[in-house]
Amino acid sequence: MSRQPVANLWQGILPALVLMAGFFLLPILYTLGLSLTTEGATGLSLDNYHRFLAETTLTDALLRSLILAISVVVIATVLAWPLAWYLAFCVTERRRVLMLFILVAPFWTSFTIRAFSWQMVLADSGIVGTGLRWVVGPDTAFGFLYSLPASIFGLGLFGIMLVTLMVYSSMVTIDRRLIEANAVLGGTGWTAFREVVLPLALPGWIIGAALTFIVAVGDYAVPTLLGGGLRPVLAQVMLSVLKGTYDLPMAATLASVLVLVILLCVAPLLLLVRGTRLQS
Amino acid sequence: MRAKSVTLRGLSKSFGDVQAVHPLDLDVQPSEFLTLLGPSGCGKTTVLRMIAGLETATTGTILVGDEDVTSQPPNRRDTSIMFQDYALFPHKSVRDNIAYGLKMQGQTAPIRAAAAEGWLARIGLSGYGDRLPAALSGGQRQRVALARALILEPGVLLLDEPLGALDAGLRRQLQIELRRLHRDVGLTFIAVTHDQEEAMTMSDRIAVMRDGRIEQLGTPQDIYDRPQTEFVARFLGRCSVIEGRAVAQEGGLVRVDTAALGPVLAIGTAMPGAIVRLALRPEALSLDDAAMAQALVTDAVFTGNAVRLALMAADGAVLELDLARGTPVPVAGGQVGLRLPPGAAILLAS
Amino acid sequence: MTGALASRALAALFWGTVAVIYLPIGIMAVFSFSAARYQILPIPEYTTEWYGRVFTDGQYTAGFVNSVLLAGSVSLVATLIGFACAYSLVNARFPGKAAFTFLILAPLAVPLLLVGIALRIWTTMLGLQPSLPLAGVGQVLYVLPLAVLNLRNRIAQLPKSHEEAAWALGASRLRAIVDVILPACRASLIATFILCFTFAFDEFVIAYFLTNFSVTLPIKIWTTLVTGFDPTINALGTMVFIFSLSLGVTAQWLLMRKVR
Repeated sequence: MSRQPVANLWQGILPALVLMAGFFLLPILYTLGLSLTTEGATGLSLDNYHRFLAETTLTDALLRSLILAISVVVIATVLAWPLAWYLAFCVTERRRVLMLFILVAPFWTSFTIRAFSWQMVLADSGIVGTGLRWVVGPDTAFGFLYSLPASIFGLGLFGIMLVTLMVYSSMVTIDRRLIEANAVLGGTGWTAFREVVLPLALPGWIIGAALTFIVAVGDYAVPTLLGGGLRPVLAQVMLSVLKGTYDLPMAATLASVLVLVILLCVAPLLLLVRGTRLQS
Repeated sequence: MRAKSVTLRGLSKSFGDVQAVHPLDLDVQPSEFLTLLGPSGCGKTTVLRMIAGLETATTGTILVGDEDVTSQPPNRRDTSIMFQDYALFPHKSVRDNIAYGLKMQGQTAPIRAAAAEGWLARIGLSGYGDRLPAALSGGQRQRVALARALILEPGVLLLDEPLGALDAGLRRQLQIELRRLHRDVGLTFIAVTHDQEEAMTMSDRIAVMRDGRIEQLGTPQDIYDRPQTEFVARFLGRCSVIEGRAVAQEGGLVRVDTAALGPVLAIGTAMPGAIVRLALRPEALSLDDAAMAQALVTDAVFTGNAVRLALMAADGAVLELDLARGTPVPVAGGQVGLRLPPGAAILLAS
Repeated sequence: MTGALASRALAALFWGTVAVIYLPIGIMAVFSFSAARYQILPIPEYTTEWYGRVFTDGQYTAGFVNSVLLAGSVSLVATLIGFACAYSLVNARFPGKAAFTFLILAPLAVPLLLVGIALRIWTTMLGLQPSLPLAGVGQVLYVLPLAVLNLRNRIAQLPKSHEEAAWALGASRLRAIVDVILPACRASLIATFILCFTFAFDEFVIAYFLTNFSVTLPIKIWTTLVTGFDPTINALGTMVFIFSLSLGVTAQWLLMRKVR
């Protein structure tokens, strides 16, 4: 019986729905579908994927992206937990927000600017290189730039900011009395971490790690500026296929591979989240 | 202002599997002040919101005056509602708040300003027109909320726990003010509250609700003096309950044999031989050394204007009695005699 | 709970990390005033030549104007669509709400590269030419989840009785939204707009993929970077950094103000 004195205004979602369906969902589905076709031939096939697997430059690029992403997540994790702990437990409430903001503020500025600034610093002619020659000797070359480690470093800083923010957000909601209870029951700072803080802050880490992985595995700007073009990552290869050889199905295939990789690596993490309680 | 009646027929509301309000009928007279009284969860607020149009009725009809408004949106019904949290628009001035309804009607600015000023004077807040709600006290905000609702001259004013957000002193003062306002404007007021003292002070009639049903409807006096069920008796005012066997009917009274107080003449009708329950108000009992009925004093509590005695009767029933100030207080543990005049006990229906 | 020594060590770690993060920006800012082409110390001569060049180089100013216009339109559209969406998410019932919410938030979890490529492939198939408006559409996708999240939180906090009071006083559904909900969301709306603007302004990947010749500032910076080092970038980078940072601070401050 539809006696509705007050209208159910669901129509507000329509513009967003149209936009997302038409310019997000459909393009991605179409791209995934495109990867199953080949130039000139009709019908669906996995040809592109075979080509992908056969071509070592392409698989190498994928491997580099994976190594990059995983390293970035590891570095970010190793630093984020102590940093988040410090902010959540060792700093007064008033200073906490300010300090978190100081740490995270660069997040709001242009990625490219930050990457570029690192390029200058890490170049052989840059500050670090010059300083090195001062200290060690005029002939030392600082070959850090234009390598995978440089990309890992650049993206690692971003990862630190993101994962710290996520872990901190979870940590800060932990009831202090739980930690006191741990102390009363004979625990130390280390057991407080292992038994109380770690499990409760884990969901925050999972989200942070997942997001960092996703950004790192598909990033273009940092590997190009800091990693150089000699040993490209997946993103760089995708761009050259798209704008260079203009092989659309192949570009689509690379995009699909990216999606698959993300799903494979991130899905288990998210299932972990289901297991732990998630607040967002 | 033309006050309207409100008629509910077979009105019910279910939320999924939960039946919040069972089909009920209610006739509210024009210009009457009726209160829906009951504990939380009894459905009273749901009924009010259905009358306002903020909640869809599952079954039944709602008439305001002669008009069936059951499927009409809230902005087309001739009702106005005042919320428990007043819901004053925080970014609008007091004057703009009060005049809002007129703005929705399309009245011009000069008319709105004049009407708002008139109401500001009426609620004693002239000069506060430009202030924001945040600058007002709780009592002042309530008056503004009332003015905002009444300026539209609705046929019916609905009030959701109007005094719930205020402290005790302010509440008593505003109970009287609300009653005065009701007499001044002459509108139909329907209020919802869980506070029985509030209901009794302000209302012409009270509908006591429990578990989605109206248990008793009547004037405050009626309900207090003649509660029909134990729930109503206990909800309004304090009472003790004793058991007995009906012996004989004598006109409007029935003679009941009780173990606690001996033979009692209670108001009501019963079949001779039936086991019945009687309600006693604390003011019904008095101490009488010469009385046959005896009870043990278990406690004496000072309540400000009286001393409340807790007693245990011969059959174990718990009784309460109020002693006026100045009366000597019997010692706990001692036996006292109790006198109950005829017609002071009420037969409970269930 | 944490020992004094451990606290000291953690503090060192924190400030050390902050130093490393801000180091290159600081260096870039310092060298933006150096007359030398490369980062050599000591600084031979201080000059504001590079800053002057930024303003006189037509391409930078054109890029800036394009970026501002694009980011402005993108944020406006995203804020409006986000508001409508957030309102319905909070107040309306409809089937598949969870799935829809997932869809709306999905762009947060997808690499921008993917969005850019998919959109490029799709629009090519549709016969649409790469252009600034097209990049705008892509950027709206990118910032919409932020807008929806922000506004949804704010709208959910508003007491329902305010809207209901407006209805009871004769306001239509839409009128009540304009009179009651929008004013109450004012700070959040502005903050959302600024936040979206900041992200859209700095956004590179989607703009790069979906435009050919019209150029936003990040794209212009990028092309300068890959074609050859130009010290003007030091000055430009510093200015853009300060600009974005100020916007971010303002938005954050607005969002964190205590609500009445």
